[in-house]
Amino acid sequence: MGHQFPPPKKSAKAGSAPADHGPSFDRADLFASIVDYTADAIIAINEACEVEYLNRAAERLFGYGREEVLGHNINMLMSKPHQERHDDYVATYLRTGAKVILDTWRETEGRKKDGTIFPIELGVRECWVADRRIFTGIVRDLTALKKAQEEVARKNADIRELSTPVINVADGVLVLPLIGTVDSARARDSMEMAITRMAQDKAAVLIVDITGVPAFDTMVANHIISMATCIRLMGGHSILTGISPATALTIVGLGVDLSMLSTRATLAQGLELAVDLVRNGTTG
Amino acid sequence: MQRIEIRDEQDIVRARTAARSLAETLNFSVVDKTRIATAVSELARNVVVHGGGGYVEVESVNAEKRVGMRCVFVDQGPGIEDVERAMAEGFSTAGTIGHGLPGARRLMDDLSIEATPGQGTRVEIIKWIP
Amino acid sequence: MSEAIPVLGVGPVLLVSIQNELTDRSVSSLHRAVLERIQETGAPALLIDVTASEVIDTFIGRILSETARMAQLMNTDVVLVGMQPEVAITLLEMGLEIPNVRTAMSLEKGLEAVGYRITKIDDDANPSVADITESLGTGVGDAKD
Repeated sequence: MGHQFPPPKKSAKAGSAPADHGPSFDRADLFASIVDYTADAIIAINEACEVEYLNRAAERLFGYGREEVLGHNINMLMSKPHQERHDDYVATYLRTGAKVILDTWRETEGRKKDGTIFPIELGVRECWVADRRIFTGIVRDLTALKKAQEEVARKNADIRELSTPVINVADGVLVLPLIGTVDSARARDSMEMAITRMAQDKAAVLIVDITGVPAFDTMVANHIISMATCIRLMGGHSILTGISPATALTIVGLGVDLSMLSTRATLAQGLELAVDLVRNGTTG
Repeated sequence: MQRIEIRDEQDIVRARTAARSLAETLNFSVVDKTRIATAVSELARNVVVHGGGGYVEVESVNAEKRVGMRCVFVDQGPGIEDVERAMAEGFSTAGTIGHGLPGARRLMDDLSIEATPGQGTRVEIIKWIP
Repeated sequence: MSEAIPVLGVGPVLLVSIQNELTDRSVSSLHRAVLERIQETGAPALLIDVTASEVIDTFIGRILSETARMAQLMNTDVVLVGMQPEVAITLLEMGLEIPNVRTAMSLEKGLEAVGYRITKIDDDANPSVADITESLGTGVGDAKD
């Protein structure tokens, strides 16, 4: 029978002196060695939360030497809120048997010797070794993964920004040209971005140019009205330009009320109005 | 997971501050942070005004490859008798005194209510990071 | 504990600033505080400054809206100043558009909107309230003396 995991003394031996390569070997030593050298960090604690075992990967990950951790409370490897509460978590489990983190994987944070807090994935299991309850934890470092996720999120944001450009054309005047088919997600994105940019640039006027929108429907109209409402709340003006005769027909036909923004046929006329508004602007 | 007791109106401020700071650590956009804080403010007020006090639990969630934030409001008040009506109330007319539920639902990705008349209300809201 | 929101006099114009950490009770006290000051001073205009508000929920939004309407009934011009874009988006999504109240992007623009212009700014790009107070005496508009 091999142990579920090795007691500390044995593992220390396995660490310092590799098992002898005789034809017959102790299976316990073999398993101890496998656990000790495995790539995931593995830590075992007892009911009092004292560390009874940690493997090499755990030493490397947390930056401690084995002897600095063995016999100490596991909470030395935890970040703030859990550090103080961990003893209670365990005590609650021992009292009630309610599994909160046992047998699941969850994302949390670890704390290195140098104080660095870093993201980890943690899986905890309970097992019995010679009538003693032991909790084993497998710890995976998520630092690289998180960094990659952030990178992807940032790239996505960049791409979104490129697909809906907001142009600063004159002092206090921004232009948002809507081009192509405007779907709901893009309309919402461009709306939020244009409005946020207005505040950043302290721009008083936003011109939304729909020359490049092939089909002006109620959905596009509603987004533009929402945008104009936000801009009014912020104290700015919005102007809708690029209204073709066909679009004008649609607007009236659909019964869309655009009275809360100024409208102009061309972008040039819109700019003229915008500059005028910035010069002697008050909102109505 | 963080639990904030909601007894009085000072706790409404506390709840929305806590929600905002968790949203901050989860890297929600500025607009989403405001949506979350506002929804929490609405629902925390319900706990005080209609629920006679209770608590909110604020935590991050990680499911189906999505990351987000969940807030669960629990009170022991009389409970909402007509959930359908509470959800519809104030939906069209701006500024009416409703339960703030329709507004909160529009700001979040998900809102669910369990209400047992006489035993209290549990409202759960979730916002996912897009 | 709740504190009343101070109603400041900036020359003849009244100014209230809505801060972020206000409790419902402080916000509710806004009606009365503003109306009393309007009655005392006969102020021609009221600026409600929400620049520092990170959250305006339906309760706060309704009080602001009502305060504005009441002030308007007392013949006072009201301008809502400095709403942040994320707050505007959130209000809109909740269906709270605060109609019939004028808006401005900054205090300076708000003062202009009610007929006061800041005339005495030297090299200060961001005038403080004190600067505006000082310069209002020489401002154009229908100030009552």
